[in-house]
Amino acid sequence: MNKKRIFCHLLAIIMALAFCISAFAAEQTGAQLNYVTDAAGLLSESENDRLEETAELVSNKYGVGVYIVTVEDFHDFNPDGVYKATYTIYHDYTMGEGPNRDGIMLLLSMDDRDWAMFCYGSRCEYAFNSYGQEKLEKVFLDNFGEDDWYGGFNDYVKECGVYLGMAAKGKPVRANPVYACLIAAVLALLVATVIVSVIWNKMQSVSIKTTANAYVSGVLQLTGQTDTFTHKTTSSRKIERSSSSDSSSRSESGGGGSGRSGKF
Amino acid sequence: MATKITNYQCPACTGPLHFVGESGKLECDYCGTSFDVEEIEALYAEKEQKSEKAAEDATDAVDATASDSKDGSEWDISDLNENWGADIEGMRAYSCPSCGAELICDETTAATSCPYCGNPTVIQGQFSGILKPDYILPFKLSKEDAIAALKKHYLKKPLLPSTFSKANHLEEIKGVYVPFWMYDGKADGSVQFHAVKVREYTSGDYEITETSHYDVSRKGSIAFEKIPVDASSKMPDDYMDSIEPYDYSDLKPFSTAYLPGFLADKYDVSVEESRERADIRCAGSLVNALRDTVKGYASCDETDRNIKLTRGKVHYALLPVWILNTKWDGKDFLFAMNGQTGKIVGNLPVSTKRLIGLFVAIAAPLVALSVIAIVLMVR
Repeated sequence: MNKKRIFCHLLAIIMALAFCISAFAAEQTGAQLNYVTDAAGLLSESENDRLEETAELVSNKYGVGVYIVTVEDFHDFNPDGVYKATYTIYHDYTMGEGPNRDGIMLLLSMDDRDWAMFCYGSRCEYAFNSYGQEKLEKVFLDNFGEDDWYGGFNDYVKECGVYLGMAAKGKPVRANPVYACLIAAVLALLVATVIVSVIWNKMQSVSIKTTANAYVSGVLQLTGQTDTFTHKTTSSRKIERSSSSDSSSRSESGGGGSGRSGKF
Repeated sequence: MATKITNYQCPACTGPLHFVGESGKLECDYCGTSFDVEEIEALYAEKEQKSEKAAEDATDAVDATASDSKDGSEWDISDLNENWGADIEGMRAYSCPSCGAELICDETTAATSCPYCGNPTVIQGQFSGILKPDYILPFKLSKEDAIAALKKHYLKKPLLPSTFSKANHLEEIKGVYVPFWMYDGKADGSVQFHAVKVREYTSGDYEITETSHYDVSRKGSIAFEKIPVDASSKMPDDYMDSIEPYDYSDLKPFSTAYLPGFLADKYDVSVEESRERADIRCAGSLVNALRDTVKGYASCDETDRNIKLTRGKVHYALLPVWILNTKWDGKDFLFAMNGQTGKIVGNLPVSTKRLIGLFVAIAAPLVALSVIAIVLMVR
């Protein structure tokens, strides 16, 4: 027990140090952390530098901060969930670019392999809407599933650059609405059919009666009743998550922005 | 072939009397005087006695003065044939006591009016040799009420062709006392159901649906009083079923005094022939009542039934129905209204143009709204 407590205290000190170093290194943006803050120690120094450089380039080019944070346990920042922990870090360390503090943050919490993505600011949310966020996670989750940390982060930063570039051109990544529209149209036609059928039925008011409830004298005399359980049947259905990917991720909102979270 | 008839006349002015539902009295068409049904019944019972006596006296006198009046110049009537063959079946003749017209009517017509003078007539002879109705439910609603109800029936029907209510013509409106058998009885039996309870819960990434199956049995009995089944082959069964129910608190012992001013048919479908319809309804009600006692299940389906019907008394009654015939686009449309409650039924035509229009009017905004919502969500 004592060993575990000592280990936890040590870990907290290491994380605090890591955040302090990152905060010291953060320049100009007002953000108190670097673009890459690897408190969980997943990256080598060179990998960290390369990612920092790429993220800085993308962030400066489009005015939207692209951040990576790794921690051992998100509960140290917010015990209510990995997504809440992410936006707590984002706001506590005043992350983001420009006056609106636009930015996107990817957090990995290694203890239970949780991840979350938080998108803040109008420019950021224009570039990464819910569909874009869902699509973006597919780029890095497969790498993380194989413990390819650098590959996953690198794909994330590059893809953020692509998304922000498209948004800057006025053509942000958006879902193709054709299928959804077709489904909605079919549903609307079904609703119309049901309504018209009900109205049609009102045109027919003649039918043979099969009961004589109006002529019952007295009440039902119930003389016997049995309810016998015979057997039980069970069926199961796999729950389809909102993401089409295999991961169990879900969309989130709160902290003034939106995002996604799940396991990797 | 001649038939005994009764023409209820006003004791004050001898004008024809007819029954008025609203007042529940017999009213004179000419002087407007109204009389209680009992009052006229008593008057005509006395008259009948007198006329029977007079008829006997007249027969005696004719026999006494009968003589040979042949003068050797007669019309040749040898071609005239009294043999009606099969045509005579189902026909009756009577003489209108008001204008003297010789009239032929259906053998089941018990009350009608003269097509020449409009005089309401009760053909008493039609009741002879058959069962006397036990009850009569007098008309409460008038012809005007029936026309108003029909117009109301057309309202709020967006699929009704616009020309139907405007261009169709009421071909005929008639108030008919329709013969009904009323069955008393009891249904006793057991019904088996298959019922299920469903429990849904989540286990990991799976949603589990657990269905518990039960064999449910219910036994019981239920009594019925006066289930009406129309006893006239001329009346469509589905129409007569659809205008139910009647309020039996207004049932009166039968009297022909309620008939003037309306048509009346006598039964031509026997008690046995109609019984099956009453049986089906009794069994249906028992099953429904037993099903209502099966509670706490997600679904309940009948699997078997064993129902015994104890048949009680059968009553014969005349119930009031307004029949309205309309014609539109070369087709006949029939409507029936309960002469007591005003419930009107009748199938209406559907305009294909309006059907498509309504569908488009509902579907188009729904499609547009959903597409706009999706496009906005995607942005």
